[in-house]
Amino acid sequence: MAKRVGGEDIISELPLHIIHHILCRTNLDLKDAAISCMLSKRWYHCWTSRPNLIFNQLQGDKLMPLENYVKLVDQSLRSHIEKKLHLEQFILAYCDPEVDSHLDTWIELAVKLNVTELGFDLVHRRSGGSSRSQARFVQVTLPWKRRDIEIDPSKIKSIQKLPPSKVRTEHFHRDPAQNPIVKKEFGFVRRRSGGSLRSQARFVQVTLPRKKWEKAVGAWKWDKGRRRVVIGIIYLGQNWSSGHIKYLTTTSCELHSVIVQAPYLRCFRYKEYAGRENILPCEIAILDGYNTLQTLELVGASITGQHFQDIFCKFPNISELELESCYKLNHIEIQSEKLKKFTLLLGLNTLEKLTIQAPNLLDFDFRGTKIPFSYMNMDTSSLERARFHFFMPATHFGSVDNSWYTSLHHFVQQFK
Amino acid sequence: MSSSTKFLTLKTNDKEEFVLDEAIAIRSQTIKNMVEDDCVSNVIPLPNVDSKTMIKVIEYWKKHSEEGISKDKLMDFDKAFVKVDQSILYALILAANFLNDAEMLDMICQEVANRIKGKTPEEIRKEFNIENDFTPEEEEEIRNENVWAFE
Repeated sequence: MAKRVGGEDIISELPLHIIHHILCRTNLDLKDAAISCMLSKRWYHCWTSRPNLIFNQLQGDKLMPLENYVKLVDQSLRSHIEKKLHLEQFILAYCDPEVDSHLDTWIELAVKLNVTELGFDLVHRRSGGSSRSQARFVQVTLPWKRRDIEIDPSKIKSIQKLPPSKVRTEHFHRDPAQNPIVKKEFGFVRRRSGGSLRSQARFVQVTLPRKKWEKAVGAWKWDKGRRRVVIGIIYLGQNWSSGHIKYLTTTSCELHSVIVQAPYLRCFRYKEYAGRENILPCEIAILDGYNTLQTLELVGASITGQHFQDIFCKFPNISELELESCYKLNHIEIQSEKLKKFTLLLGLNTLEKLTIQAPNLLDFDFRGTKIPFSYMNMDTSSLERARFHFFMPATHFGSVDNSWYTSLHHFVQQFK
Repeated sequence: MSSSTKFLTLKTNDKEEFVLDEAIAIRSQTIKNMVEDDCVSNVIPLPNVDSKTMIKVIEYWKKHSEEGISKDKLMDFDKAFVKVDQSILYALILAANFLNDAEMLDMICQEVANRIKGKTPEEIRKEFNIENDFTPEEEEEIRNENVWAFE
């Protein structure tokens, strides 16, 4: 045990944000942390001004009565509103589904306070035994959809969700000085619940590839209407000292628009595998990160040649580019000093014209039926490796037009 | 081993100098930023850290930078590391905060939390020498307002 320093109270002198850290970002449970407000006036202020409102209905093995829990959450939020206090996290873990009915009001209050992270876990108590250790799944209810989805708790720390009306893209981008929440990498994977593929409830999960960070966190998107906007908030327990989103991937999210505003964005991947007939119209806008973006991958994006060019020319530092199944791309024009790797997998006869002026291109992958021969123009002086994979035009074998082979010959000639 | 090992000199507020492998020193985000921004000429001044504390910090950094060290060993090390006088613990918190080493800050804050855990307000006050500046009426009011839910 540590020796006592003669009567001196040093702990109370610690900066406020460190006391908040001790109270809210350690494994201290809610009760032990709440008791701190009775210590002295200084500690009362520390506790009531905390930017992390995290409430777990389960206190150890004990379940806080529903009424108490609701009252506690409600009072704390309203006190923050009254005192106009800063709020970063509003996270609830509860066992009584009745709590759901308060969520809308609380979310509204939290959003009013410009909350940066929301999380709601409805933890199901299993009859008999401790629910925490035995429960394989955390059950999450989307209150406005009334659909349950099962999520493996080892992958998810908390589920984040907001009703569509509360969605704002600025959540992507926050000043790190004010917000010690790291946003490093985002990945959205739609989970299919039940059998139906295009089911109503879609869950989007965020994965963090580096073990060092606490595992996952949720993010989500949902909208009844035409326009869907993703917002995501990542919470990391460790390593919160710096950062912005650097990697963003959306996979099979069926989004109607993806608007990214991340000044340090390095890698953006958009992947939809809907097929040619079902290509989803999706507005893609990258509003920042002009100098940092290095990797761009678009799969199944509904962009046209003009749109692609508008995007591409804003990012002079892209070194890796991959375009796949973008069936509306009729022409591609690339002018880049930095481009090193280019993968073009189209597979269908949509591309009419391809112009590449990339003197530093080292690696080129091409897959498609039709070579955009006649309008092909390439500067490939640095090319070290090229791979071509041609599908035969969809005609009977033997009836392929001779010109196809001639064109192929010309095409290959360009890579001397 | 590596021929390109670079060393940095860190100077604490009591004018002590510490020469440290750059790869270790950049556990501090503050120092890392300085190195990355090329703000490092020869000596990095650490105006908020004294040498006694810095010796501890470096001990921690070196241990946590050891190659192939097992998790268990690190946990044992951390456990022993925080068994110190409160004044040293707080100096370490402030140093970790200034140096912006999130891992170390987390670890030490957890230790303070451990010392709070499971205690009554009176016990916590005694542990940390906190003076109760509430009147009994105020104390009752706060209890009713904030702590009732847990009773």
